[in-house]
Amino acid sequence: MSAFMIAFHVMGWTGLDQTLADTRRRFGPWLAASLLVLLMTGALMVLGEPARELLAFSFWLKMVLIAAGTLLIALVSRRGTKALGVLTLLVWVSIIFLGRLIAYDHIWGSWSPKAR
Amino acid sequence: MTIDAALAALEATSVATRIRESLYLFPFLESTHVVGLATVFGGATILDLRLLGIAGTRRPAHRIAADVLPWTLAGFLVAAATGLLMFTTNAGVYYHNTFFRVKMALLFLAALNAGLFEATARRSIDRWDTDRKAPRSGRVVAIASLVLWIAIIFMGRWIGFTTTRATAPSEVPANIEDLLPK
Repeated sequence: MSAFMIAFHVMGWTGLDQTLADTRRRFGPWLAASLLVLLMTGALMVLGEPARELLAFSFWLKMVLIAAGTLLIALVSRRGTKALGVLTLLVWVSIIFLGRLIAYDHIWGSWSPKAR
Repeated sequence: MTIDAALAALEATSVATRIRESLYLFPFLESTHVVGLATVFGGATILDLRLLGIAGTRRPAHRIAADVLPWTLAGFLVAAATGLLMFTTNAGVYYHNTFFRVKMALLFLAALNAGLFEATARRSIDRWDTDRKAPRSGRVVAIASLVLWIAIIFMGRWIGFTTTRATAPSEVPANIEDLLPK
């Protein structure tokens, strides 16, 4: 939601009484802390059931998008153009979808390493 | 009509059948449900932290409420709609699942809690709008909200662990060695 709030600000949907720098200062640290919790719990889940994640197309695409999404947040919270805002929202929503889709990797057909 | 017959009738509807038989619809509903609940929990938490005097304290509370509550409500509607659709696919099993029942009870309490906020602290918001934290009634509501929504998310996840979808294809056996170059 912190990522959403920064993107929403850029889109002109929330925080209109604030500057973009205010919004970044309010949500950036919470975003970083949440991301850390997610990375740690995620790493434990990979350790617990490595084949489930490491052999999932959804997992690897999600990892790429998390890297892209983190860069995008850093970028959009400094130079907030609407195009970057839309892209940020799309990437983070996709991350949520791909996370859930790890459990359904068969939907990717032959793209899923499990299908081989 | 008994409740079990009603649930079976719900499962037999064309919508429920369509979702059950599709490879993509149930995962799509689940993912959209997560987007919705992330928005609900995130939005509610932003306001709760303001009420508790933990974050966003330099900003008037009414502005934060006006910012996040529409998104929280929208997220809730998305989560409720997708949740209802998922429920129809396996209504009998969900209805008898303990985690589902506890989750519904907690959702009811969360709704009551939100109503309590509207009836108490929000009504007097002009008097404490720029204070670092809300009056006691607002802080109690904020703590209850945080506890309830975290518990609701846990219960929701456990419904998934304790119910099995009839049409889920069995997992293809996979080995970590398959990833390594041969």
